Amino acid sequence: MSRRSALEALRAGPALVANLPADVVDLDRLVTHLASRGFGGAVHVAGGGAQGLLWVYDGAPREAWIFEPGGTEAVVQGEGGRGLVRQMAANGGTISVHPGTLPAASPPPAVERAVTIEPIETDPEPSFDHSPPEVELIVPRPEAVAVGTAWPAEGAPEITPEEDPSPLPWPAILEEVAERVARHRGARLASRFMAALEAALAPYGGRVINGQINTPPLARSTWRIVVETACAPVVAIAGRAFVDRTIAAAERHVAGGKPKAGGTA
Amino acid sequence: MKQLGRPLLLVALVVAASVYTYAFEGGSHQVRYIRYLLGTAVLVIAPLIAAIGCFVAARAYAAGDRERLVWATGGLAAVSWAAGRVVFAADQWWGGIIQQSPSIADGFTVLFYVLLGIALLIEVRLVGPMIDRPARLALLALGVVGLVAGFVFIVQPIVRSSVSNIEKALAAFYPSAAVFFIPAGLAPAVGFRGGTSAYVWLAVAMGALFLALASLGQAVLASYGLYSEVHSVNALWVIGFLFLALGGFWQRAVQEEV
Repeated sequence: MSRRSALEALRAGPALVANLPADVVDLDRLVTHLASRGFGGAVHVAGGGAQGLLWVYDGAPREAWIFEPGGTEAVVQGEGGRGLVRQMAANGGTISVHPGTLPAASPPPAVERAVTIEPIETDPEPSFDHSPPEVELIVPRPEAVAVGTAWPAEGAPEITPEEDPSPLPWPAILEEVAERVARHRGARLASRFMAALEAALAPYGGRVINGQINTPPLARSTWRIVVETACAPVVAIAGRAFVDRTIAAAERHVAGGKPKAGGTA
Repeated sequence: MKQLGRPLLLVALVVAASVYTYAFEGGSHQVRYIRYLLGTAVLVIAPLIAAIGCFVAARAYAAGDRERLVWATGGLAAVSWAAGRVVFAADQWWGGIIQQSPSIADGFTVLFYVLLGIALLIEVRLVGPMIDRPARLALLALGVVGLVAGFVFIVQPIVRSSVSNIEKALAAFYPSAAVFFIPAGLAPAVGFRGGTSAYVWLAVAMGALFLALASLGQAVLASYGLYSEVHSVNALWVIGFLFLALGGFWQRAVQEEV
């Protein structure tokens, strides 16, 4: 299996978090957290037509695969690889986290890339292997993944298939939160909240259409992760206290049917 | 909005004292003396009200929230300015020093500009991703045009005069820093447009505007030896700090009224 095929297979599989705006994610902290929780998979960064995969397994970040728009590929080990992926993230774009395992017999890149960041270690054989894949990419199903380990939410429990769905009407609460964020911090921040929410829901089959949230029944712990992820852009600006008050007010509003304007915490 | 009652009363008292001090001239010796005392007092009280407003706003946040740091730093800046005015007044009251410049008071004033600049810089970095490139460029252009205009018409004549180098440096620093506070204050208003927080930051930007104008005016007057506590240019300082206070109290109200 070529690296590009592996990339496509990985991207086609489920993601713990998908397409988060890179400017709301601290990539180093995310990678450190994933590594410390024993996560196996890759952090995908896309921006400006280029893509990067930073593999994390055995408790540490490993090699980085860089795919440039012209078909150029590079495998960069160590800090050099992390630096390239970090640079891609710093230039905007999106970040996703995919569980999986590194193909054991990955071929060397088709074209060596002139990478200026040192140190660079590429496979010694420059030839491209077109033989059928010997190692299949193993991608676990989302419900088998400990999603709670993928986002640095303190105390977030792991999802288990047998966990009960959340009794709270989270779609309605989050729609109300978006409305309140727009009213207090403007439409820009509300749209960032909705974008992060859509990205967080995507791996679980949830969608946001015209501001309305549609999801299958999700476990309590899954909603916790989704809410944490969606609120990250708001927390970064308006603060944790504002977000907590807003969620509480939205919850009361949805539960009690209070009028939308002028509700207080 | 109930929380705004007492602060508004305090602001009204300061405005009344300021009008009495700065809007009239002449009068008997006692009247001029009272105006001098009021002028000295409002220039200390106004920044303290602004500081209280900023600290009140900071209390609406949880520990670790970055906007908490923004408002707390703004509050410290206002306290620093008030401390500078106290030193300045004490020098004249007890020390018998008239128009001493530079003095320790200038150290506090420099600290005011540095702290306010840091507070606005943190906020601008937070809201930066929500501001379009054209809006960013427009705000930058506003700052540059203000700086150039201020330099050509106000700072340059001072720099070319015979005052000491440190006076020249301070005369150039105060208005230059203050002018950049205007776009920095406007940036969050642009980022939060459509939300109530935008009006809060509009108040802060208005505060920055008046502080910049006061800074430019005081620099000119001080260079010609015409500055005094009862000069009407001080009204600009008072208005600037009251706008800053308004922003702080208002932010507390909207932050808790979700």
